Amino acid sequence: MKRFITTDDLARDDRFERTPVPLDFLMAEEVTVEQVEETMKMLLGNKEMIDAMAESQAAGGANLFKRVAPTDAEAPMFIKTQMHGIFMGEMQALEAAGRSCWDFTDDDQLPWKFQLDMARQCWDETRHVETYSALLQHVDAEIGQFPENLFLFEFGCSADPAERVVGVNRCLEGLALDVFEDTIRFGKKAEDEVIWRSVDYVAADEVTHVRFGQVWSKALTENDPERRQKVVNFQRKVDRAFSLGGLRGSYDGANVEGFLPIAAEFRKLAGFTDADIAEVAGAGPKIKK
Amino acid sequence: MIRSVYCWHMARTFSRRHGAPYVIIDGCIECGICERVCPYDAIFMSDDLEYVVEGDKCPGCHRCLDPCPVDVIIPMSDPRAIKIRDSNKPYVLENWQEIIAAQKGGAKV
Repeated sequence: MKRFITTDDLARDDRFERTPVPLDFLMAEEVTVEQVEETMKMLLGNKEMIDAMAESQAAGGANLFKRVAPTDAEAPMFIKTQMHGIFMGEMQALEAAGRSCWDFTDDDQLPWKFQLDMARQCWDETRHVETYSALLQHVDAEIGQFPENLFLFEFGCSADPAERVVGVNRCLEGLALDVFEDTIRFGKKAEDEVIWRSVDYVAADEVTHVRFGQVWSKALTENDPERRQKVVNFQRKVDRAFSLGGLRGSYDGANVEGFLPIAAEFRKLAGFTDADIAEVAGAGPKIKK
Repeated sequence: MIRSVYCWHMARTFSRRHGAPYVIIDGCIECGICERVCPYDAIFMSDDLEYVVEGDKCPGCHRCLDPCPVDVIIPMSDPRAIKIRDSNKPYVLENWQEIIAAQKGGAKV
């Protein structure tokens, strides 16, 4: 079996369509609000949703920087987009964990427990794909309805296992926790028990995956300060990219209604300290006025 | 067709050994976006003042492809790889000449 496969080689049938995400703005030191808005639209990749939000924004309602409420007109489209995005994220997380299991099999320095943890993650992710497949039906959406972007997977390709778990576990799965928290809040506001209970159930697994990232990235670099620094630099890069333009705050912070706040409590369960959370919250680029 | 598939496999096989399936070809405007978006620090400006993809660092994640405004970062398996810039050659595959010659339709690899 091939190692270090590229995104072109990921298995998808003809239901799936890919959308490019240039995202160069999000890796920059400074961005304009217009650049972030443009990139958010690319990430959404859903014209119906973008049009609905533009209409709502013109009427003074929800916009890309203020979360959609269940009572908003675009809520049905929003939850379909959200569920589809999570479904694709779970697919990519499964593929990334599977690769982490396989790509380092001849690394003598890597403890067997690393592979066991990655294998456990694979098993969890397959369940999550099934769960979100059912949730897509629940919100009346279908697989392949919206384009897929491979933004998450691209940051989980490193040939260094310590960087791999930073990209996949700490950052990708960490972002998933934030999205889940957001979806649970939406489900509770909408009084949709199927949504919030299912997502909460999946989030419990994600906490362990993020913890794998926290634990292994430190354990694998414990006696190698140079490698540790390289991993930290990589982590800052991914945190910046995943900061979605620096618009994120924490649920216990000021930006509660902002674009995708950081799920501080979930992250603490996964081993994040307050300093770690502050670092993620402050990882984004500066917004130029 | 058979030859192109064969070469594609060759390129992939060797690039896996070396790490880099991508190269920068003629037409690069040196805007530097690729360097900025690469999560793995695999793209940098060489002493020739041209951007290069470093084989040992590039895991082939694809991240640099979409942001490139002139589409000059391409897989080694792409027929346009014959336009690889001289600056990139030392950083890609040991036997890039053979692969590219085969893609031209000449030498048997």
